[in-house]
Amino acid sequence: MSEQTQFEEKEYSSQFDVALWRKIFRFGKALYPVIGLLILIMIGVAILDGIFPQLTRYALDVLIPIAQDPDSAPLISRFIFRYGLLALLQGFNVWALIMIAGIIEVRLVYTLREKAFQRLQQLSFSYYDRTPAGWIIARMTSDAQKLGDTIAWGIVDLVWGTTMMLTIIVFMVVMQPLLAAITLVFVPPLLVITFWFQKRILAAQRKARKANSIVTGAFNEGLQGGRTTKALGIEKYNYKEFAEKTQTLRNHSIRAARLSALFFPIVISLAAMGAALALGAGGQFLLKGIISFGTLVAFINYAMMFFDPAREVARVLSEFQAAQASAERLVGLISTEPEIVDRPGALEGTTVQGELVLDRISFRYGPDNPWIFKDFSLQVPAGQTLAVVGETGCGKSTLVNLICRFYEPEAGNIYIDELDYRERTQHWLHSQLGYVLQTPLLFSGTVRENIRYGRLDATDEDIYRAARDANALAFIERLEHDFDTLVGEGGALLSVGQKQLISLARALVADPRIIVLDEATSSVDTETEVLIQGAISRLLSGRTSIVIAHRLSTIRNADRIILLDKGRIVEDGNHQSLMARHGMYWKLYTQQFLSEDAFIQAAGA
Amino acid sequence: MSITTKELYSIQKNSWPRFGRINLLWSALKGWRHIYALGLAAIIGEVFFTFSSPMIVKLTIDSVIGTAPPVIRFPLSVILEPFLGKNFEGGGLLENFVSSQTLQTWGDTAWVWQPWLRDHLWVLGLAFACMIFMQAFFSFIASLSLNTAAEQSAQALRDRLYQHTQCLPYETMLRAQTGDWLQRCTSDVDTVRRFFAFEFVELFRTLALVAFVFPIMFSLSYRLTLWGSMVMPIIILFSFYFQKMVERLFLVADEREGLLSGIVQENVTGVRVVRAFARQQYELERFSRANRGLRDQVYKLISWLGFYWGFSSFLGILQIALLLGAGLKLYTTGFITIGLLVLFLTYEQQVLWPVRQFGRILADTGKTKVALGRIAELLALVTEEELDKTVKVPTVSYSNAGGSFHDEWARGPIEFVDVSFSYPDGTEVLKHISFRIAPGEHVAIVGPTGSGKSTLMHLLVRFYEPSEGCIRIGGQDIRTIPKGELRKAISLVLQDSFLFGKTVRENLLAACPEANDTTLIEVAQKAAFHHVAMGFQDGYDTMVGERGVTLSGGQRQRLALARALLRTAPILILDDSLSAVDTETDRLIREAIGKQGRGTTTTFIVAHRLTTLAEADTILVLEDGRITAQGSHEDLIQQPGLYRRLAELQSAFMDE
Repeated sequence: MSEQTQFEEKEYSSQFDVALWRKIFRFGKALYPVIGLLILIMIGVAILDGIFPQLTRYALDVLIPIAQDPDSAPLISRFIFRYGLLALLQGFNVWALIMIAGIIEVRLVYTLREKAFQRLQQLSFSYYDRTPAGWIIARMTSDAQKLGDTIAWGIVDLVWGTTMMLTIIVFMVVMQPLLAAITLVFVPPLLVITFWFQKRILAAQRKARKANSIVTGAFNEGLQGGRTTKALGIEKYNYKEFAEKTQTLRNHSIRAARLSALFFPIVISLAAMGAALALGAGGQFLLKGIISFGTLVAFINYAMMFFDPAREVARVLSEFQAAQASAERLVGLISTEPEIVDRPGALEGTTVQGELVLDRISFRYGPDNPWIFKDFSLQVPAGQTLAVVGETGCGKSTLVNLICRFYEPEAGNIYIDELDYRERTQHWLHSQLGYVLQTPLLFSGTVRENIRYGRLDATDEDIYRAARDANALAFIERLEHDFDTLVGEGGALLSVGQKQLISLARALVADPRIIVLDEATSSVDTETEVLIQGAISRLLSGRTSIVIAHRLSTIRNADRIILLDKGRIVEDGNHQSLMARHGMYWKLYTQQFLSEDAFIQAAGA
Repeated sequence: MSITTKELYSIQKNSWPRFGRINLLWSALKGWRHIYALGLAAIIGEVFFTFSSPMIVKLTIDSVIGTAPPVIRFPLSVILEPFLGKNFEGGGLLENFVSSQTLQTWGDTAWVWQPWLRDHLWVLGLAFACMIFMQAFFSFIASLSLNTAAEQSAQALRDRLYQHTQCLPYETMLRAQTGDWLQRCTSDVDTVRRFFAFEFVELFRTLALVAFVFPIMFSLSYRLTLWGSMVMPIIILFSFYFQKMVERLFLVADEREGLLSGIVQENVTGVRVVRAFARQQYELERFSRANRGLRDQVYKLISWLGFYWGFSSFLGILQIALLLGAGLKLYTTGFITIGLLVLFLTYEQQVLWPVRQFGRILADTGKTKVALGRIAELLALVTEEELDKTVKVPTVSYSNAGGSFHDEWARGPIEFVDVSFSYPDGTEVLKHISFRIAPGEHVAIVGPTGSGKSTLMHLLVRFYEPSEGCIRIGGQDIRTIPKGELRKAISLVLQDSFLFGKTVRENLLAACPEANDTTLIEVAQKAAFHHVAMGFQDGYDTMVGERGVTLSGGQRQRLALARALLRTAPILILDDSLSAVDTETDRLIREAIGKQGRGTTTTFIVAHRLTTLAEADTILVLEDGRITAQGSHEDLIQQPGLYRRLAELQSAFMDE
């Protein structure tokens, strides 16, 4: 099961993948000018942040000595006014940086999601068959969000942090190089320790997150498997296992918290040592008249300010590394090539008559898997209802996949009205062919919208008629807002039987020439079962129909029945002729189809 | 407050008692309250030193380098007095390092310590660093103990929730909205954890800051304090107002994000329908609309965030400008010293950030309130044990002398005496059911969908209690048998058994942890699962469930059966649990179970297949909640009724 490992949460890549990031940035090409602007603004913010202690210094050194002089009043007012202007400018800068970084984040996330969803619409069924739905959804939601977040706000913090550190160093050196050198002694260890901690804190948090998702999974199992647990009487056993998992989560979380708890005090102590040096040495310098009051205060301020940008830069760099895993998965999804594509010059148009021919087709799910069909041939004349029966694994579902071109045969051809279906577009095929699943899938929206899904230009009149033909009208009219009732996500607000009736109405409104119906036995009450059977017979009449049959009524009404076994047709004929043979069909029929269906008849008799 | 039976089984809004949320918070901290209190005390220590260190700078500027008399206030005074002597006039610890003679010669300066400290400025630097070390130390203690207590309480909550959900009645489980419940158990718990670790701490810290810094500032210079706190109320009000505004925007953004992932979810799971109707373009438009909707909402949110942070940055810096301006003015009139101005500037910066955050923290606290309520609602659900107290137990009490379930009762006959049952929502399912099954008998139960077959079996394991009548096993009323004992004696395989996300072996062992490999393989062979397991690369160590191999419906049912068989219980119930198994395998399994089980294991099989029915010792025909016929296959085809009609239909079909 090596396939499975590809879906394991890989959260961390140690190597920085330049090519990958270049790809990601290419998705945001239109944003380059905005990113440039953002960088400029962040440099501005950082420099202004560095300038404010200089203003204090000016006030202490220049304004204080002359403050007693009444002539200085306008000078002070002007100073305060200018300070206020700079405050306004910085306020504007902060506003602009959030707006611009926000725009970059939102646009990037938006584009990545659009691109990924477009690709999802093109990808072949083989992709969906091997990829869990949850995996895809996580890529579309959290991974896209994380990438946008990291890139936009990462640029902000990275530019601000580096500029800020440089600004501080430059101001210090300009004010007093020797004192600057003394004060900055602690910067290298500060940087080293910061990076060391950030890396470990992130790693510890990742472990905690992983443990957390395990606990969430266990909760999910506990809720979904609750009834089984009860039947087996293993509540205590499960709880013991669960408690071990929360224990692990707690341990990892506390370990991460301990690292964080240690990090801040250590770093602020280092910064304080710089400030203490500034105070001690700077005091000497002041007494000797080398520096002024204001300069001393500015040095102390700068020394304490240094650790913030250092922490930001270290954090952002580690986060970029963590986001790389998201980038890999998302880029992987977007650059997956669909296996089934329309041939160049594939034909659209022309309504189909409905003759279907499978000519010596061979198929398997990938070269490592056994053949499902080998030189399989089948002819279905226009208008015929063909029931396909057989035990699980005989190739019924694969037959549906091939006819619907969800997969293509490896060898051989499939002709519709004497033209190879690969000469047509997929869109054409699917507009002509109706595929009805008996595990009905509805979309959130109203009943009307769900039926209209079959044909987008259907009028309300068409929808009404389809619902009537599908025997769905009676229950729809009993709903609170009849056709405008919301069905909930996946149709959750309706019963299984109601969902089936609506999915049949959806197929009826599409009015296709060829119907592929995948029946499944389901536990609906007898009354609904009768309604469904009526709707199905209306749906199949007058069309070429291929039915994976589970209902007695469907089989008995079929024009022709084929019995599949290991990818071969072993029996072919109508119900009477096959029963008369007393072969595999007879056996299957008496043992399997006669179960629930017989009850309906027996109970109704 | 009266609740109907139905409401016992689903979440009731606001079902917690008064102060329930605070009680829940308090109980979650159980065992760690002293650690949490220690953390809060450490916060006070941290704040104490946060305000001491800038005072060292002030002292240096004003009274060591400058010539003003020292003004040393709380909290610095408390720290310095032992070193510098009473009123800082000498006599403290530091004097041991200085000859008393030297001190006296400096007597004529503004402050006795000034000359010595001028020559030893590094001492002040060291003092400054020490203060920050202490601040760092307390911050470490606070952070460590608060986080530890928060994580412990989160674990306690998680464990409690899990245990509670596991102990809920069958009916409640059936009605559970997994997604919603999951959120209560995970993200709501995390919200509570964050409250303990951050929000409450930040509120406490902000209050401590304000409680500390304002009295100090006031005592140093009330004029400068007034100037220095002019803009604060505006920032606080603005922060509240802003929170109110964005909360709604956040809510809408959350909804739209949910909508978006809902569309992706439907598109991916419904991919067959999308492709079958060639609706890719339509789906793209639907997705794009949702994607745009989310994007625009986030834009709106960001423009508010930008406005808030921009404006509050401006106000914050403006506040400092005002302080500087007022400071310069007050300096000229001699009210303050330079050192004091620098001190105020430092304090201002320390207070500004928490003040700007205040609105957000309060909003998060609001979220905690909601989360606590949601957790309390889940915990308020009645457990099976609590429900049992409402069941009237006959006076004859259950005795289990041997302590093992292989007691006589479990190997005795099973009797239903005039049993009726209605679901909690009032639907009548079973009506006056009476029958007696001899030990070791094989019983088949047959009837149309909805006739009450599963419910009949659920009554036997006490998933539900009969509304009327009584059920006896070995003469013992099952209401007197503890549920744990009862379910140990009865192996029930559900219609839709759940496989845990573990290996095949672990799934089996869950039912009977002490089983060895030989027994494991034996039951797997009986359930026709052994060859399936051996077909996997990792054999019995193959993962099943969501993250493992995909088993077909029949394989899942067979594994579930093997799990149940491993328990070798005296009573076995197969509730239509071989429906997806093909007929041939079905026959093999029944043979394997029958060979050993007949005469020793009382077996109930709910089934549709006539071949299965015909083999049973007794067939119960259930129609519309009543037993309409009972007997062997031979008996039943003699009498008119559902069973004979079924058999006739079958033979009629065969003759065609």
